[in-house]
Parts: sequence; structure tokens; C-alpha cells
Amino acid sequence: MARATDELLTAYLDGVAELTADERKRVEAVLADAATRADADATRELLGQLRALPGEGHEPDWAELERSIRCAVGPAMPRPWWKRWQWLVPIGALAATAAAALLWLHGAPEQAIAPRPAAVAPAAAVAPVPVQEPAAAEPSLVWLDDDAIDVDQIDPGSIEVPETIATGDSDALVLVPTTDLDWVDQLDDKSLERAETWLENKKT
Amino acid sequence: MEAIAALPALVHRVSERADPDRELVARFLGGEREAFDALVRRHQKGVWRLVRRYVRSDADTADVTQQVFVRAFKGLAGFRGAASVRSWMYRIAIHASLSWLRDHKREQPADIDDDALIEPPSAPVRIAEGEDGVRLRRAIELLPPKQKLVLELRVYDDLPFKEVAELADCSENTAKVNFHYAVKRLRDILGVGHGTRD
Repeated sequence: MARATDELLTAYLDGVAELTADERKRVEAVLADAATRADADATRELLGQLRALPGEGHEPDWAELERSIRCAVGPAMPRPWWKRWQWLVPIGALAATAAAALLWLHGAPEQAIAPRPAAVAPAAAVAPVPVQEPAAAEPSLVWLDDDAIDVDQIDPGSIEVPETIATGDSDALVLVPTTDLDWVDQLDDKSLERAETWLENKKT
Repeated sequence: MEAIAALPALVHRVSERADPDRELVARFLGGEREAFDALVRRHQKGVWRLVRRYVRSDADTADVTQQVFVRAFKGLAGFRGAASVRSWMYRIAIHASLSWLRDHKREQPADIDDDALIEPPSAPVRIAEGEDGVRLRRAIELLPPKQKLVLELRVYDDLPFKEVAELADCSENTAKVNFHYAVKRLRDILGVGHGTRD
């Protein structure tokens, strides 16, 4: 007997209708053998014994059990999850809108954001502060020879520019020409040391 | 010819429509609370017997059975109808029993039945059980878990192999093969039919 057919023998004996026509044919073919039939009879007998076994334990009062189940379940009908969570939809939409608004505010240019009001101190501690008028554009005054001169009022054409500056002669503009620093080369070591010490002291 | 070809589909549809469980579920989902009570009446015995095989005390079995129906009540709105209502409930029962066993592992004595300490089994049960019955039960306990589950669902709960397979998480063919080997092993343990072929 083929192994697969052998494995179906008990299922055939216990419920022939649950086998396909092909499976039934195969099992019936092997049941033609007398030894297999004897084996099948022993299996049938055992299945009968198993079914005849009384149930375990002592069965309860079914009406009482039904009542206890009804009490445990309660009177309310269960609602499917999508109905229980239905209220979340508008709340979710609101949260999404709020999040989008926050993102937009953070992304907007700073000038678009209204200035934050300064931290407010307790009312009792605040002294009344006179309201200041917005300051008018102040004149750019420069003191020159004891006279206040408004720089903005000066006509650039009326300014007399020294010839050296006007012509851009850089040699003429140098206040201390480099040639006059020759005396530095003529200093002895002692003088240089003193100068360095003086400079160090100045730094510290 | 076409009518003959359409016959299996028609038979299937008629049997689906004739399934009282599905009808009760539909009524329950339509808001009829009493339909659930009818489901309880139809399945409480089967659920109780299944749970009793795991939970060895009658009182605890009643508690777990109650839990099973409470879970079923809450979950029925999400029942998709892929399996039969019975195997869906039996699946809940198996899960509830296993979780009860896990929670009460330390409390369970190895050999002594809780009820044995409270009340002795009634005389008719004792007589009906007999020595053969005790031997049979002991032999079933020696089966590998999968074979034991398949055998019990088939023999004690009278489930078709299709539903046995759904509950045992295997194919229908595997359920048939497991059933065959469970019976074969029982025969080996009990010493029935020494001429067993393989």
C-alpha cells in the first residue's frame, strides 16, 4: 500500500464523505486486501471505544451557565472598532490643521510674525511710564571751532579740499615720512631694551 | 450541461444560507441581542467540553467558558466569516484555555484533579469509565500535542476535518494524516491490533 493512501485509511474509516473520489478509490483498492481489512476493523473498534468514552467532569446546569454568560456580557451591544473610533476623525482633522498652521508660522519670514509682547511684570510693580513720542530725525551735528555744524546741510560743492588730497598725492599726505625713522636704526642695544621693556609694561 | 456545472456552487450557497449560526450572527450584527443568546445555547456545551479537557476543574471550566463567550460577544462585530462560527468560537476557547493554564501553572497539581478533592465522581460515571476508559484516557495523554488535538477535536467534538484543520492550523490533508497517526499510536500504546501496517 502506498504510504499516502495508508495515511488516509483512518480518515476513510471515520468519514468516507470527507475524502475526494480519487482518494476513496485508492483506499478502497487497498481495502481489498484481507490483512488491511482486519487492520481497518481494529481501527474502527478503537474509534468506537473513543467515542463511547463519557465526557470529563460533571456537566453544569446549562441554563445557569447561560444566565451567567448573559450577566457577564451585559446588556449593551458591542460596537465595531471603526464606530468606537469614529469620534477620532474630527479630532484628528483638527490636530492636523493645527500642526499645519504651526508649521506655516514657523516657516514664514520673521517680519510677518507679530512682535512678542515683553514679559509683563505684576501690575503693582509697574510704574507709570510716560509715553514717548516717536523721535524725529535728529540733525547730524558736528562741533567745529565752537560752532555746531549740521553735516546734512553742507553743500559738498562748497567744501574746500586741500590740493594734496584732491590730487591723491599719497607722498604729500604722509605725516611722518619713513625716511625720518632712521634714528631708530641709530639706537643702541640698551635703548632698544628699555623701549621693549616699556612696551611690555604698556601691554600688561 | 451548464446547469449541472453550476450545481456545486448552488449547493454551497444553499448550505451557507441554511447555516443557522451565520443567520444568528447576521441577526446579531443587525442589532438583535437575543441572537447571541441563541448562539450561546447552541455552543455552550461544545465549548464547555473543549475547555474541560484543558482545565481540570468544573468550576474553572465554567469561568473560562464564560470568558470565551464574553470574548466572542465583543469580537463578533469583527467576525469575517472565513471560518465557521463554531470553529471560530472553539479557537477562542482553545486560546482562553491555554492562557488560563499559563496563568494558573503553579496552582495546578500534577496529578490530583481539583474536583476530586471536593466531590467524588458519581457512580454511573465511574462504572461507565471502567478500566478500559482510564487506559484510553491515559494513552491519549501520551500522544504528541498536535495529534492529541486533532484526535480530540475529531472524536469528542465531532468536527469535520476541514474545521479540525482550521483549529489545528494545518491543511485538511495534514489533519487527516495526524488523525491516522494518532489512532495508530493509540493502538500501539494499548496493544490493539498488533498487525498494524505502515
